[in-house]
Amino acid sequence: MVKRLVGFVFCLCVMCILSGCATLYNSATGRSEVIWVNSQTEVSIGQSVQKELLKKHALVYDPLLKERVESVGRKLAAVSDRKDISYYFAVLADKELNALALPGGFIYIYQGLIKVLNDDELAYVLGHEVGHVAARHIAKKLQANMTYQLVLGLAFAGISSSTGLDTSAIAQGIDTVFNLIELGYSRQDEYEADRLAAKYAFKSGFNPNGSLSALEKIKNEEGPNWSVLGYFRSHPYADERINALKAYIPLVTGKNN
Amino acid sequence: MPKKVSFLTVIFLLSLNLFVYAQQELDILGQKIPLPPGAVEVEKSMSRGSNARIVIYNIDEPPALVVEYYRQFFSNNQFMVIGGQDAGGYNVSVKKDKVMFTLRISPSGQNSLLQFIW
Repeated sequence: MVKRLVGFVFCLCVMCILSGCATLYNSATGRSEVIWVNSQTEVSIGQSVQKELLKKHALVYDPLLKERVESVGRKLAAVSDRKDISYYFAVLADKELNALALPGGFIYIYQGLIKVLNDDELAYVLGHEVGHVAARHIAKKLQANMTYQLVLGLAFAGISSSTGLDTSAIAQGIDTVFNLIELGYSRQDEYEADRLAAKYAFKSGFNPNGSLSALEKIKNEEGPNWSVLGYFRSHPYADERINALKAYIPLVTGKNN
Repeated sequence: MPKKVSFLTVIFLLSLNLFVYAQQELDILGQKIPLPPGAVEVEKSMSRGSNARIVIYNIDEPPALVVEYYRQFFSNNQFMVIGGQDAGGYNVSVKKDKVMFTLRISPSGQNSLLQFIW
């Protein structure tokens, strides 16, 4: 009996030790999570993917537009839960209403979208992408959907020409990352990024209600095809998200009436 | 404090040399990675989804010494390393030739846990 008890306690200790080893506390989600990809590796993957993105999309160099995005982005980054990376904000010359975050904090908003948003709404859109990065949704998505050798290969391709994988495998890996971003995140991840966006917007001095008007505006701008085109293709569940934000914003601002 | 750590590091590294004949190694895709003396394997598993192999060892030494050991090993053997110390401990992605893996070293009381993922 005593031997069994000792054995049970030993197993429990080993399990506690192992769970502590395998998990990392994520302050953005408030959970301990299994994340193997370290931050610098995630940044290197982002650099690899960014090279390909910029082959397909031109950057907008309009200094006023650039400064507007960078200024809002910097304020959000300063209050984000993840500060072990440097966030990068830029505008892509594309009419589509969309925004995306690459691994490692490379955040892009399309010119078509920025034109229809005021600063509070822009803070929500950028904050949502910062939220995906801070909560490490991207890293977890790569980890879950790609072979680990490919994840590491993309990271080393970001810092060296000697990648450990052949170039076709790297190209395939980058396509996979784009597809994963394009397919969107889980419903839970989208809601979480929305909550973080509202929190970051409020903490950095913007009106978090900009999230509601931004989603309505994008929905109306995209017209009847909003569920298959542009922003809501990669950021679905518009109406549910608006309702969830309406319930969450008073918790952030402390205004329940 | 740094003097104490460096003295302990020297003792630890010397002890590794003394035990070189009995040195344990982990074979990662044909690349032999040495393990500090006394490393005890506590878990070997395969992750679903990412198809990654995970092997975890417990070592009766503080993380600072084990980290220094691997820093020297990677540096002396021309490994490329991405990462370093982060919130969860020492966490690096490592590459030599076509072999790539992640090494995490985290504290477990006075001991260290080594986690290899590839």
